[in-house]
Amino acid sequence: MAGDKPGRRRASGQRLTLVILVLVSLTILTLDFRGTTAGAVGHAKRIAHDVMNPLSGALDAAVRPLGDYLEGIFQAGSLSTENARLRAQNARLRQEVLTSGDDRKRLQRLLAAENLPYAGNIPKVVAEVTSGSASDFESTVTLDKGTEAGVAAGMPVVGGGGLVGSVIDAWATGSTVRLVTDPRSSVGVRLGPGGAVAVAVGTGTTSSLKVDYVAPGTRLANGTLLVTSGLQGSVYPPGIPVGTLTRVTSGTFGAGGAGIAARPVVAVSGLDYVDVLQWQESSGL
Amino acid sequence: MTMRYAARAALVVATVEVVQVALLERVSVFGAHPDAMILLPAAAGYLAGPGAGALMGFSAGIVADLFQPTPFGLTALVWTFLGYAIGSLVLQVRDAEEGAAGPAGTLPVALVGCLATLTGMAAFSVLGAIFGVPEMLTWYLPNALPVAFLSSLLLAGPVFAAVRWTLVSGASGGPGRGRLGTTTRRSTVRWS
Repeated sequence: MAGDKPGRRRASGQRLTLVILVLVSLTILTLDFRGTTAGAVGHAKRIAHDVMNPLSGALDAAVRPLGDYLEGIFQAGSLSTENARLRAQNARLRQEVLTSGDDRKRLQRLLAAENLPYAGNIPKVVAEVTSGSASDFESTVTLDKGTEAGVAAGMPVVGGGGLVGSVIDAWATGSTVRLVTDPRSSVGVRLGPGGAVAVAVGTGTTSSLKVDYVAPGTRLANGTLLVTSGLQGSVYPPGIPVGTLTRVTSGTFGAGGAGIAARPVVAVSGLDYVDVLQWQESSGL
Repeated sequence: MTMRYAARAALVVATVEVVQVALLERVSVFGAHPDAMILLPAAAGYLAGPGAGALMGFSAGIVADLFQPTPFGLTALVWTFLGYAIGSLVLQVRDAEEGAAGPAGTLPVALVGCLATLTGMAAFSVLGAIFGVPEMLTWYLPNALPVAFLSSLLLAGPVFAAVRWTLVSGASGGPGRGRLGTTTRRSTVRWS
């Protein structure tokens, strides 16, 4: 029995280690939720990214062929690049079709009448998408432009003819963008230029958005273009195409918008280059 | 744990994170990618017991949290439990197999790596769902699990070898040959 004492003591010490570490983790987590550590954590994250970027960049040239090869195993090699190009082209063409004819005229009239900023007078930063999500449990991309290029958290990101998402974190040489398809993303939209307001929420899938908070009695049809509403307090300027309605089970809906789905205008899985709009709500309206 | 071993562990965590960011995050299959970092607490728990697993889980989790937009500390919390659980499981298996030569003969590292990855990801997504993102459980997890399973089979060996290097000095490698303590039958290395 005496020989069990060290074992018991060690087990007790290990349990104590676990308890202390869990308490520390919970404390950090709680402080982060309350925003108490936002400045410190944000600063630490920026430093970590600034340290990592040169290392990652130096390794990039060496490992990119291997990374492309590994990705190619699952995505049919060079076809993935061609596929991404075609998806981007398809998005542009789809957007041209969507905004052609009456829709385009109405959108242009709306933009002109309300002097909406998406017509191109917002300063832009062109950025390359360098990697996808850092976690399997979110829909984000990383850009190669950060605070040194004028990118800041909260700025909208567009590309491929519509809204891509918004910047949620920026450091000196890069930034993270939360895509519109992320479940934590909510975008205030209008159901067609000048139409009723609603909220487009990400579902995690790359091809579908939920449309919530549709006013009772609103009449809808498949193919209706959703554009950012730009209402007061919105993080997006008005008039940016977000998606098109793809599932409307009847012509009129009550509150809640159950059963309404939309397809994002932008193929977020094939992004190469995007524009970060240097627009913030306070400066835009 | 001496400064030397802490420095080695820090070097391994940093190196695996660089590989994660520079290489593995570029490999995306259905939106999921291989995860080498989650294997660190599993390896420490497997090689050095629950306390070491928890320590490595916390350390690696904090580093991973620095590069993710998820709530800061969530990964550290999940991986702390994960490292401890894997360490406890290995001890129990060894208890059940009295006289076994070592863990490598009973629990292959690839199996431990896969088990740890799947368990850690499931726990992470359940917590995410509790915190208000049910899609972490209903959408992201089913997509991520197959990729995580297959990649863990490949990555477990190198990651476990790297963690073993932090615990073992000289040429006398292998479980149970660590400098910090090799006298007990139940524990390979006293790291914490």
